[in-house]
Amino acid sequence: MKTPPSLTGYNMFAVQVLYFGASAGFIYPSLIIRSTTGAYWVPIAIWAALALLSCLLYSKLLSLLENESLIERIGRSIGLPAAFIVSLPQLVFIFGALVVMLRAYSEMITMTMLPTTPITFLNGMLLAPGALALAGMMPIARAARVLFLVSSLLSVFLMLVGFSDVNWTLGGPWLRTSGDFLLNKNFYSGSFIWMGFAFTALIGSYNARISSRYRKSYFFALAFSFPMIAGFIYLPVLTFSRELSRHLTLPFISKMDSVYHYWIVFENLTALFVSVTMLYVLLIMAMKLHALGESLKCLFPRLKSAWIYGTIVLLVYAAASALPSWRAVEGTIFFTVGLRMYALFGFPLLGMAALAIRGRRKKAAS
Amino acid sequence: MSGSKGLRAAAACCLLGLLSGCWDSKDVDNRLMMGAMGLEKGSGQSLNVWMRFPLPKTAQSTEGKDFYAMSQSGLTVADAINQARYKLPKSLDASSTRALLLDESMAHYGLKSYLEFAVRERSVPLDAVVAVVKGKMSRIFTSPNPTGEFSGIYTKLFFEPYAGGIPRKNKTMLWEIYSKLYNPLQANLIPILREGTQNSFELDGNAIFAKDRMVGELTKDESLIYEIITHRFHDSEVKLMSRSDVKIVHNRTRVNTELSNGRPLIRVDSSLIVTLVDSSQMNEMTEREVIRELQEDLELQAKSMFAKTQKAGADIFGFGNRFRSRLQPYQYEEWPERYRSAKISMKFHIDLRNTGLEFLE
Repeated sequence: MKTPPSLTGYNMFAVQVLYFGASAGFIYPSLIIRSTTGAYWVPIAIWAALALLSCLLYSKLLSLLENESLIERIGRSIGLPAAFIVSLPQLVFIFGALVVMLRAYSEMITMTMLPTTPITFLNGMLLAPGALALAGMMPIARAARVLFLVSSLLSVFLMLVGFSDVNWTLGGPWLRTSGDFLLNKNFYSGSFIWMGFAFTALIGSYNARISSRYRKSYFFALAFSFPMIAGFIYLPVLTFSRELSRHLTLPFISKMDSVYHYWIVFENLTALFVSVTMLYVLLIMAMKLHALGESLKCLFPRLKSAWIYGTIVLLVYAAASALPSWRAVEGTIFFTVGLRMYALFGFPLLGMAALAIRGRRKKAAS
Repeated sequence: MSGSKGLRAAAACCLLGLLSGCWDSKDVDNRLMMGAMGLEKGSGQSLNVWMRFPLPKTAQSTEGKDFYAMSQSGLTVADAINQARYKLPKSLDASSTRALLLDESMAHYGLKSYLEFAVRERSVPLDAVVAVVKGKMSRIFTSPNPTGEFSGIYTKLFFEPYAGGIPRKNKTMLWEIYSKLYNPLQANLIPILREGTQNSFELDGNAIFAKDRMVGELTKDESLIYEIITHRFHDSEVKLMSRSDVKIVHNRTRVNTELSNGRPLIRVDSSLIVTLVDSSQMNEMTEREVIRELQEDLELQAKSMFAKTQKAGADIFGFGNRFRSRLQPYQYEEWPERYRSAKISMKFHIDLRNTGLEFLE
């Protein structure tokens, strides 16, 4: 089989930053703000630490590959049926993540700009990422490089503008935490924003050198994006207070609504934010579709790419359209926590175990 | 034509459907964009909503009015707006509202339930300016602005620092009010406008709110101290008893807080830099005397202002936010009571930077 190309360090960095931009701006702030009465950075930092740990596991797993894709190697190690069983929760997780991202973004557009446009029409935006995903990994990587430059600059601008009208005394307690978030489901629901590396691990080929690049680019992307993630949470709080922010469905959208400056050319910063988020979301949905499509291709080598991607797009579209409400979107995020835990720790550990079996068999044969 | 080409052509034709337009599109010609909205208490549980729409030149009647005003009663603001739609030939669009005026009766009755619609549905911009109105809402909404600006824009300009705004006017935006209605550690201070004789309205002072009800008023001079403490200040003139006029050009105010046996201790230190605008030749004064008089005047205003807000249990300055780390979240609701018993002191340090282009001798 032809070896799939691999992402460069910059490509991986760009994709990871875009992933944070696509997932941290709309649902996530509300989840974290509702998860605790203590300092918000504590639950963020805990998940960031868990994500780094998981990324190290993935990096270790990918370093065992020899210029091949992960699912393909697992399939060769333990056989396609067993590989399918190991990968199934991972694939369901990616499918769920796609459904939630598509529906949440459509809902955001409905709540902010186009209240009467049918959700089924808005969900049609999936066609663009579907086409990009079918085009392959390199078109996604090239698009990521361009969108990273455009979107991150605009995001930095929006963040800086958002610092107007902030009252730092509203952010307290800054250090105190009672650990109350550990018993709150929103804390666990918020885990989805840290998982960009779990998708890129399924794209392209890896070896020890590329695996090190993979690890470093995620670390750099996390360091680069952490202020942005904190900004999405703290800017609404420092503007509206904790009490009102807890009641807001999309706190950062309301924050953008509140910004007014005589000298700002754009009258509607919310529309600008929604547009920037759309760039993030389209690219990341393409990346997720590609990860899902390529994994299925490895597991079902006889199927044609166009059929795989076409079916995935249709299923994601149907599932996203079938969710009845915003509460159902939040519920889906919560009920897929188990799948995310599997994707964070279960899959890389099982993957390493599968590769170890293959190594042992080789040794025994020699 | 091969089959795949035909399929692609059919797919491309399907995309033409997108050209039919968006579900939410409404031409600007077919909209009535609301410039200002007024809320007043109606009979029973209802409220009366005043609306003023600027009209484009082509739509103006021979009367020469550049606006159209109407009122509509309803149980909620959204209900009143929906009922107004029964009477209008064009789409009513509140998303351009620049000013929200609240009748005094409404302010005494409670605001929270009437403002929720703006945040929940984004129907009114969160950056719209808000004021309490004393007098007839009908006259303010139906009379042309003598200075000629569009309705809504006129009220916005009245408050904006880049136009007619001065510190005592205390520009307050909708999101500020709404967020403080939820925050037990800070209360609202909303400007009060009185129906004017020469103009549509004039500043009367500022309304103190406890939760969502108006419980008192600050005078214009007391409002200036509020602006100094909350750093909303840019520059402002102060008229002294001796008829001298000074301009405060720079303000650096620090607030220190501590909790002593559950009682809040709040110390405010304000360093002001002032210049002399008018010495009043009738009373010859030295620079030292001008500073002393200004200091006494400001201290008097501060004392009176703190007494009013403490009596009402309304922490309009947001001192309570500084105690967020020292109080447990369940204690936040007790803050208005704690604020009543707080020991507050304010000191002014004043430097007279210059006396203008004339020495004071």
